[in-house]
Amino acid sequence: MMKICHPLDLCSEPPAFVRSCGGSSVLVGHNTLMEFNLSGYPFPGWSEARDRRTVAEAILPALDRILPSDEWVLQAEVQQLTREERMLLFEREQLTSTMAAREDGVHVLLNRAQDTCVFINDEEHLLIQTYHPGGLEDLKRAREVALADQQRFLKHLPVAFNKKAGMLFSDPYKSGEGVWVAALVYLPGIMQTYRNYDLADSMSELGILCLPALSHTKNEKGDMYWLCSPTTQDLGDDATYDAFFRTIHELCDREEEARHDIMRNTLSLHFLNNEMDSAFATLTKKKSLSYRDLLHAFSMLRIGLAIGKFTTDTPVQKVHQLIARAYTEALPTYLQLARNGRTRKERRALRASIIKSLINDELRIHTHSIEEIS
Amino acid sequence: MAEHFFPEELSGDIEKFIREMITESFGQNNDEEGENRTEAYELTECPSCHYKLADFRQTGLLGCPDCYKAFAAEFEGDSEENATSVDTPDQANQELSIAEQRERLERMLRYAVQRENYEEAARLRDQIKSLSS
Repeated sequence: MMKICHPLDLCSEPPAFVRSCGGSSVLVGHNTLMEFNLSGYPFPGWSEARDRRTVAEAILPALDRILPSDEWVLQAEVQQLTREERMLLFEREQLTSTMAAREDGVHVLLNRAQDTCVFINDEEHLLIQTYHPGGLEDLKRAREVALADQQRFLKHLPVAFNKKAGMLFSDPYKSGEGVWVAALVYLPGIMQTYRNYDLADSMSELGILCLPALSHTKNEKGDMYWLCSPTTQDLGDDATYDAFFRTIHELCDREEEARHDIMRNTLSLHFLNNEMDSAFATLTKKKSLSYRDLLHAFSMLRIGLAIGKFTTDTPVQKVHQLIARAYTEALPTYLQLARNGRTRKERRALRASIIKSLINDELRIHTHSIEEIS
Repeated sequence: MAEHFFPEELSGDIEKFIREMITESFGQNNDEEGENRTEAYELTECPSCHYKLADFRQTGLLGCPDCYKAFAAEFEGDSEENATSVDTPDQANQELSIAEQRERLERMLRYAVQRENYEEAARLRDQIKSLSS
């Protein structure tokens, strides 16, 4: 098992999910997660290095047969990676925190398009995470594709399976189909309208796991969230997914309504206008910029571009690409490794300078008053 | 753990709350023989990976696929529910009898307590109460 490319080389392109994060659509994209364990081996959390290596040796040839190996640009045992490289992959959501901390027998594979990550010996023996752009219908199709892939693996590997419980996992409440879908949603309208709204809390009541996207601590909020389908144990597979798809659909409708309401309500529009002005000043004037401030300011920039507060002569597609690139070039570990930002102060200054040049030189954004947009 | 995580009624003695909640939901067991039985049950071990049921109770995670068989009694309720075929979430609830609903809620309560999600646990306890009344 060898490292094919240096993780820093991956940074010439943002990860696939970030590439679709430049616009203002509500359902930005989605990913499928397929997990399983091999029978006869302890789960990774309870296993020893020897067991993990045996599991990896069994999975890798099967993976080669099912997913073409020439596609992988990164194929490494995690212990081959330095601490900074692990952090870099973690910040790009291409390595989990569990894997980053574990040693022997833990492997990560990443394809050329950076839309498929394979994790061996993460929480379960195998996790394949595939990102897809597109809307709700594509989300349903993606699940079917993942289920078909799962069948191919079942032919090659002795997967831990039980007729009653389905796929067996270290967390028994996850047992079932073994395929999950997660929708990536951008909700600035809802977050602006309901200031103290706890999305994670309300989703949790529906059994849906909600994780902020692009952020790595609780305080970083960019109005983007991953919403992961619930366990299928209580309702069965199809009913669970129907309920999940309905929830995502409803959430998208509410976000659209919230955006319209803001435009109709003078007070809300004034409030949003102030936020957008302040965000623009943050992006173009500040000499030191934290990642947290950047996430919020970019969210306001994107919604501002959508409602006409900001305009640019740059083609829309190019704008989306530039914003996506800026998200990844502003990541702390990227600044540390690629731009030599050794201290936090240096990294913040570098981030501010990168973003300022993006807004002023590449995007060339013009701002408009509230009277012009309302 | 942050204080706001817990319901207001909890102000302070969390252990007492959990004890009361479990007692209310599952009944008190002061019988010494019963306690010994429970202790022996907790020490049940998976023959393949030597993971103990007590470990599962503590972490909420299992050691290997064979643990499902070794600790089958722990998951019996789940298997029966999994066999239930339903079309919609509403239908699922209608199809469950009161006893089944209670069993399901109790299982969710145990899980919530394991995960230290006391807010959810309190909500489930109230639901169990309302089923009983």
